Amino acid sequence: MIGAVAAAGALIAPAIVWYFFSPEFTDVGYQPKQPVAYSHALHAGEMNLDCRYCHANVERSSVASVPPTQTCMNCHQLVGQDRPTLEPVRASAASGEPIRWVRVHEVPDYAFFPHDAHLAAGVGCSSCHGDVASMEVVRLEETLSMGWCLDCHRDPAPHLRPFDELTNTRWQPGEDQAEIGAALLAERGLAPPEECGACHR
Amino acid sequence: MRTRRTLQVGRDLLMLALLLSLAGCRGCPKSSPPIHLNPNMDNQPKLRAQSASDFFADGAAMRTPVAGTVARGALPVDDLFQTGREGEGYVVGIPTPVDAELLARGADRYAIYCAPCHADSGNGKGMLFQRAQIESADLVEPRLVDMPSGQIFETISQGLGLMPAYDYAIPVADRWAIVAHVRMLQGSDPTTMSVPNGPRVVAAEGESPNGADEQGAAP
Repeated sequence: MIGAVAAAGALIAPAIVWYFFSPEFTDVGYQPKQPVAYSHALHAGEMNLDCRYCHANVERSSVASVPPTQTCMNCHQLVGQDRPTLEPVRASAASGEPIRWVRVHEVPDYAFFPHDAHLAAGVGCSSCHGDVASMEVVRLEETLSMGWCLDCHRDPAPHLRPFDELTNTRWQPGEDQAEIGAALLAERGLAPPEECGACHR
Repeated sequence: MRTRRTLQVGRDLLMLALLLSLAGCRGCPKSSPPIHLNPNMDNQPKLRAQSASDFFADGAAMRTPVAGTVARGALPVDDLFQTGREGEGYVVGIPTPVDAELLARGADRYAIYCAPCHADSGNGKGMLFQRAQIESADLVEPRLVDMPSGQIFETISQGLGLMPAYDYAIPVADRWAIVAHVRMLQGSDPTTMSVPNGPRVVAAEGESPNGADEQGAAP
């Protein structure tokens, strides 16, 4: 009897750990409610604003930067001035107190991810963030785990794209991505680091 | 007795499976922050860019620049390049070498920051007009064709009327690249407008730039 229970436990316990202790379970799908119901699907999708209109620092800083309220007001001083959903934005613009957006994509504090270097190498936004331009509410699509990072650092070719497609979140690798990726890898002289100190400084 | 125990174990396993299924599934949308089963040092007490902090009254860890200070690398050492002005006048040409690289950069940056309002063609009927019927300045009208480049640069930097300042988002060199692209939209050849080392032609504020022809600007 005890043997049967032990055997069942020995089978089930690893299965539970495998399924539930993975960031596939704990992290992917994280979709917090934001203080303002900002829709990327509307702004980046339907209106086709480039990611960099708001995330203006992403190419020259390690942080992509959540835009200041001023960026919202560039348009919303003219558009939707009486819309109640925009009240927190107007309040923030008036008081100077930042809107407390909830961070969705976060690596551990001992890992350092540089946005600028990845864009310079030709890895586009959606490789890590998914098709944000079709998300009403931003959702975590990838694990952002170390193994996931290393998959790409060891074999970047499938994820390299032309520079003019960087912010196209609907970009999909074509059937000839293997050749294109290999060519881009050689052309750009990329050698993604795999040593610990590259990300854990 | 033995059968009963087996049944009991079976029931317990079933209960466990049900409980686990309540715990959710991989990739299911969830609004609560991820639980780190092994916390490691994932969350350290240090403050990172744009994080919150109770230390300052506005709740932000980052500070805005103190009035009158200049960020490293942003000292306006070259007034013409940094401000588009020399004294009271504006530079007529573009105070940086205008080549294919700058023009490509200008087209790229224009599409990101300017086209939403001024449209790809520069006629001022971009997406803002299509959605809210608010027209922006027509960049290809004669008034702007005659405008000194420095004044266009200053407008991008500081804003004008309903247009906000874009100096926070677009670095100085990129603003000049955009000016060069606007000249292209206007039908001029910006490669002839470069004034990197030559005389710094300026036009007095409000006057039409007399030096434009000397600099090769299209009429």
